Amino acid sequence: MEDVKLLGAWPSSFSYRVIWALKLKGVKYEYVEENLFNKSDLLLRYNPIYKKIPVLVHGGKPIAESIVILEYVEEIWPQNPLLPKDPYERAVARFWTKFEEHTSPTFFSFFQTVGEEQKRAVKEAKELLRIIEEQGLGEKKFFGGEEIGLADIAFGWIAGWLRTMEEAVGVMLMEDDRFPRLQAWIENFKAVPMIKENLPDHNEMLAYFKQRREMFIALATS
Amino acid sequence: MGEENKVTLYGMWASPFVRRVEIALKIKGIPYEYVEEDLRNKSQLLLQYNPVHKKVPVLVHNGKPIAESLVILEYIEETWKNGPKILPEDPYERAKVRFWASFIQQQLFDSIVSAAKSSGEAHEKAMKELFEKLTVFEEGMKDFFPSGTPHFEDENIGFLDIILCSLFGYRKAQEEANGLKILDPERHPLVYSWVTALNEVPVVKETLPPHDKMVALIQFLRRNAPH
Repeated sequence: MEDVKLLGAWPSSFSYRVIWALKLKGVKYEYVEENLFNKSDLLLRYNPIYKKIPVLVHGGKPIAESIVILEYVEEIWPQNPLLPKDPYERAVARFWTKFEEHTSPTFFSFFQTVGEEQKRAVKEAKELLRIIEEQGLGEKKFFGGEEIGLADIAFGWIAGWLRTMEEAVGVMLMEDDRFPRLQAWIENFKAVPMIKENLPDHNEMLAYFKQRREMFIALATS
Repeated sequence: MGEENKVTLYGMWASPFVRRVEIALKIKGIPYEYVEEDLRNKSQLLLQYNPVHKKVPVLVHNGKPIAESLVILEYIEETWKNGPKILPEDPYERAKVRFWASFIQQQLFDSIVSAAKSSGEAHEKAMKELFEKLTVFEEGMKDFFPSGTPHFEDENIGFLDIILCSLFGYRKAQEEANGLKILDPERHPLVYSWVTALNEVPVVKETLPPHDKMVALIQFLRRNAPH
């Protein structure tokens, strides 16, 4: 059995995607915490193109990009599948996983900008959340149906990170009852035992986000 | 063709994303109906089949729609199991292909669009960035072509080949329309020879939009681009 190593960083939701997948499938792995402000030689060697985490190393062979890693994990360890068997259902899951990728710039902008630019990001972010709730999730418990799947993991940052981001920025995107189904999904997602046991500490995350937000404000207003 | 197993592709003649799907369908020998969309006046069916993005390509199989070209490619691979494979069998090789597909999509495509749309100093900067990324890509591709010379017998083209066609397929039209030279054989010889070899493959040639029509479209878009 070849050894599995995961290079990650505790604040990163991308890192957690891989942790969730590995834990859900019962895969044993060694976790290596990277300091993103002082990247290790190992990381630079394993991901020379982007120099980013997460990187999965299986039997010495590195794979980068969280969704690429998830598809690989799914293929090597098929137990507790993240994707359904039916090709059409798989395509739907992949479509929403791709949709999540498209939303990144808007949410980054929400976190990193101020003034008019941020107002635009807030408006766009709410529209995206609406689409995710109504068209992605619909009436289902999870994006994956009765069990969590690839798309749930891709949107996992909404469950574990969004509220903290909103607190750090001081702007609410998911105000109270505006997104009831997405809110229910967040509770259900966080209640899954493997997820519940593997979420970053709220206070630590908040402190980290506040620090990053201050830095972005300084950059934006300098 | 009855309703069962009916395949319809909603597309637009100039779209590189639609082209990816066409090439895949042809490689696999899948019969399909093609519906040309006027993107300035999208059909009700398109809006119904792709309510989220309202874009082409959309593949409809047995009445069920799939959007996003790379998602469609994976669907085609998984559904029509007979015939040539687009993705490698080995999971690690597949991961490498998906990684580079993502690189092409997120790094190269956007860089080319930036270079095409900009002028003056911004253009110089965009071109420099594009060339740097192409160099990274060139280095990465040496892994896939250890002998250095891509060649395609029996049309055995795969995922990355298909995506590359859609990226560089229009460079001759781009060059003629606005003098944009995105591929330099001296700086990126492997990618250049790869694209050249691909352009000789019949299914690639068949799906290339007519050159003059493409030039005219690029020029039209440039003249009418919002400022």
